[in-house]
Amino acid sequence: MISDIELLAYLNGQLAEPRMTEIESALAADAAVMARLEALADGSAAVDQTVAAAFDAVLAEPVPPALLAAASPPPLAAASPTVVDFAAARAARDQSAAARSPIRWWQPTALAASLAIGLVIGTGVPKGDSDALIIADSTGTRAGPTLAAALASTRSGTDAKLPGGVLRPLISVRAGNGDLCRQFGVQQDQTALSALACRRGDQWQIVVASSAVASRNEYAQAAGPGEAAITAALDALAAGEPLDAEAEAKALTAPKP
Amino acid sequence: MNNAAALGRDIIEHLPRLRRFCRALTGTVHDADDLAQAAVEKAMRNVEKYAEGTNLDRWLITIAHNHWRDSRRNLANRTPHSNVDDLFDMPGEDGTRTQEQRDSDSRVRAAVAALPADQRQLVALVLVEGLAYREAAELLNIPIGTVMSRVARARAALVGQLAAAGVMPS
Repeated sequence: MISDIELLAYLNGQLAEPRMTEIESALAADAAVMARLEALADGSAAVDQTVAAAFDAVLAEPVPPALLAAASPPPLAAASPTVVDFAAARAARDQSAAARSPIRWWQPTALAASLAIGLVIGTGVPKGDSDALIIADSTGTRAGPTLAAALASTRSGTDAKLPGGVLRPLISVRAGNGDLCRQFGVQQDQTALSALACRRGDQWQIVVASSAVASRNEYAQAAGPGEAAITAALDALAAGEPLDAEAEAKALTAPKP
Repeated sequence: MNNAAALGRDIIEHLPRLRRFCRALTGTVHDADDLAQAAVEKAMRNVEKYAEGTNLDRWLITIAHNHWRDSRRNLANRTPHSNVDDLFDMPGEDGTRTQEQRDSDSRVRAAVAALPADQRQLVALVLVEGLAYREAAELLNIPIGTVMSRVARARAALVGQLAAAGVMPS
């Protein structure tokens, strides 16, 4: 007697010999056994594919930033500045044959994750390199000098030229603690960066950022990648409504706290 | 790049797959991401056990499964979810699938979540992760016959559930 379980195992090529051969003989000799096998094959193939496809949909979901951060080594060994270098990032990405999500996340608290993600790296870049978009070191992740200056002077909805890219601030808001924060996009060649930064003294601290490969003609959607995380970060900061042009101009010129 | 950084980079490549496995194992988005997080943290703490050439997928799902099993031990006799409609998880943010497909995916995942844990873990390992029965038996340390019969029962239950839900023809 051959059980359904054995037939299923046979279907999946998982029976050990000699049972495999015995079942093959039974199938050849007995049409009823063959009919049972066909019924099982139809049923199990369909249900297996349905289940696999339902969970494959999970693969396309964005990976939560906290999970990415968990994959970062605890101590960031070097205290020297690590500078986001999009050219290097692109090169690293191009070299990677593995299929990956088009959206990469990093958070200031998860620098090593950003190293791992491949968005970075160029240690040894001289301190004060004014062309570095974003600088991350032991004191935090912040806009580089050029980007910081542009963030401090560019009105939302207008563009500012950066070395190798174009900045477009999208909105300014006041966080619950009074900090001025700005959501902005930077279009660099084929990389679009979306980020949220808050002003602390002279610095613009990066709260959350993501980059995605995008073509120039998608500039209008430069805010697209990472929108959900930025929205979540704005919620977390208890940010108010976007400032209007007048309030923004005033906030940008106001003496720094 | 040190070992931890290299491991972290490799793990990040595998996070979508780890999340998929954890979703199947736990049944909810929240529990799945908690479990994935715990597994990644444990993997990172055990970087010295990770050698070049280790099957990282297998290593991560083994860690995740062990953690899930251990944490269940602490929650005496968790009853399986009984009402499929209570189990709808968040639909995946997958632009390539239609709303109808996403609803159907969500229903299928809910049906898996409603299975008893011993069957659900085999669905996660065999149907979702694609392990052979023998590999699942080794990972769970149970006889292969037990694996086969649980998979068969899970399939039968799922066919019934999904046919009733109109996701699959009966």
